[in-house]
Amino acid sequence: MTAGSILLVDDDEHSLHALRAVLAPLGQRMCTARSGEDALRWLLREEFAVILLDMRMPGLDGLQTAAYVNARARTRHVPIIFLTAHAEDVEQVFRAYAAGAVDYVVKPFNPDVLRSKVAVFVELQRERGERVREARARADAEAIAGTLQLHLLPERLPRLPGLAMAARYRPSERAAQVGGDWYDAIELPGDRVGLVIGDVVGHGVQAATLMGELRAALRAYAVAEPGSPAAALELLNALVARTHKSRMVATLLYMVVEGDGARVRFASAGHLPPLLMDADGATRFLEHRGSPPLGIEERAAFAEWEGELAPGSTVLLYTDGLVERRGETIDAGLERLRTALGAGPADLEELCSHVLDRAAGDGRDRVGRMRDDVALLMVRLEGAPQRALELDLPAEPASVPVVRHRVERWLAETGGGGDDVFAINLAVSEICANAVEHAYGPGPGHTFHVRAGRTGEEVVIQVSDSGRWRPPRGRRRGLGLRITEQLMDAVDIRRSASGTIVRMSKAPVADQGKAPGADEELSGP
Amino acid sequence: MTDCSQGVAALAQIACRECEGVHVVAVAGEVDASNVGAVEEAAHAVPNRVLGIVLDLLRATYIDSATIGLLFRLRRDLGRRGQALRVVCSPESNVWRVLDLTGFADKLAPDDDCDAAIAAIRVDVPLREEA
Repeated sequence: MTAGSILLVDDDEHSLHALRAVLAPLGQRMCTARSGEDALRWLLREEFAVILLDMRMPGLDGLQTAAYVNARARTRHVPIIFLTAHAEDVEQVFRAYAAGAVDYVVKPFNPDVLRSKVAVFVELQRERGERVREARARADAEAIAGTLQLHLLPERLPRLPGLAMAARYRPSERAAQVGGDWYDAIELPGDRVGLVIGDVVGHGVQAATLMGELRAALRAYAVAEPGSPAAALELLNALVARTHKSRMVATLLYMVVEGDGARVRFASAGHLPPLLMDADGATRFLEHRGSPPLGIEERAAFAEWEGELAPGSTVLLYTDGLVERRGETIDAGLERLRTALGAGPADLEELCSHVLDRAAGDGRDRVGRMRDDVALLMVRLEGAPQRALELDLPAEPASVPVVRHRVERWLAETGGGGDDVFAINLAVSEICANAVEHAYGPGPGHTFHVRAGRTGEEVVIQVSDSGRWRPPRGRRRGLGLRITEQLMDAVDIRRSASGTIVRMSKAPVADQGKAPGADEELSGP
Repeated sequence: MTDCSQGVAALAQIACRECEGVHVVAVAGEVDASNVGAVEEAAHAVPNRVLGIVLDLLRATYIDSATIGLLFRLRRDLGRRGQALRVVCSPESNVWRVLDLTGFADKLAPDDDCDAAIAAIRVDVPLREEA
């Protein structure tokens, strides 16, 4: 094994033979060099456990060679045993190397003493190699878990008229603490959205993998049970209990919010309660008879919290990393969170950052790393609900201008004048024309549905049909879609057996039309 | 001047005339998937003897990909017959914006004046793309 190799350096061939014979019982590979220069060439090619170095050689002598070895970062750690026949050399060695992995042997040497000195260095090197390998393996595992987890978080949150959402995930910065916290937001049939916050007990690759399992399973159950979070959690719990047999425990809270209505339902598997803030900034926890964490009892029943939330309400879902600190009760942590939310800025994104900084900001260890990972998800029912526009129209070309004119009027009635009316009209027309032409083809009796709303100032429009989507053919067939994608900030197309839903949004021009770079210049450091 | 806009209701008015051997189709109002067929009919009702077509969109307030598709077909068909097509619209208008968005502003080099477009066809100015 190269890692345990020994380098023998001596200009005298007989000495080299003698050294080989003495060290052969150690069973290590040995390399020989007849000069300091040769020794340095070996060191460029291979790693050595120890170097036996003759002091007196023509050319580079032992001390000069050692100086080169010490000057290179890759070889600095390699211990050197100097070989000398002269007492005055020993004194030189001590002067040059007051400390460090350096030893000396005076010729004629005692074979047992030499062998045992070399054996110590070989063993030390073997141990160091293992430590390095272990450390590398640990770092790999952390990187894998971290990557896995980040890929399992949603790339972006769904957009629904009347609902604003923001989320944060902050990983732990401590070794082996990459964890199983996650959030998810699931679009559900009937203009509902499912919000998930969860925490798999444990850390590392295993926790991240299990989190992925839970996330995928809940997404499926959520769609199967769109109206009932408790029913979805019961299915998930049974699955976890069956497949993991209590070896895995996770807490999870699953909430379903109706589109732009205020109706909210949630069920909890041992998770921390949602925190509610109303439009006036008053905060309270939505206390709820919880059920045990997932995976403990196969037949656990889940109760459902159901209630109406007033317009302007904000709901915060979070993991324990946000409220747990060493030497503090969880109640104190919850209270700190409540204060942070109530005192935060109005903007939802800013509020999210504020809560994360305030509540989790001190959750660091002695060297300032985040102790635990933290996930939080916020949803706000937009205040003073903007009148949404709903249209059901026959799937025929004559409906296209009707939609356009109604949307135009609705934009004027609800907007602050910053809308790019032409762009939105054009995009709506293109998508409706697609629905009429591609989704149904000629033939009477079909309808399509248009819904327009605002999330804050942003216009969100959804066009849904129940026809079978036919992919645009040819170059110009897809032109309308390409135009739409250029005009809107976001366009999302969902095709399924039951129809196609196109959802698109655009912020007012006043917001996005700022001169590029103007902000940076003004807010420079 | 002929009113060609039967059946388009109030969405668009289409007027056709012939001017110095050039067929001029002027569209006012909105053109989309629901009425592009009428515009297409009017544009295709071209006598063989004319030098080309001017599609006047100065008073069009709305066009979308339906019109772009029409321009594509029209240019192809006229090209086969050796007739020219020129489009008229005001720069920075909504119509121009759609032409620009779809790359047609470069392809068709729209004029901002109807007489200029007619004159361009008469002196056989080739389309910019082919120049």
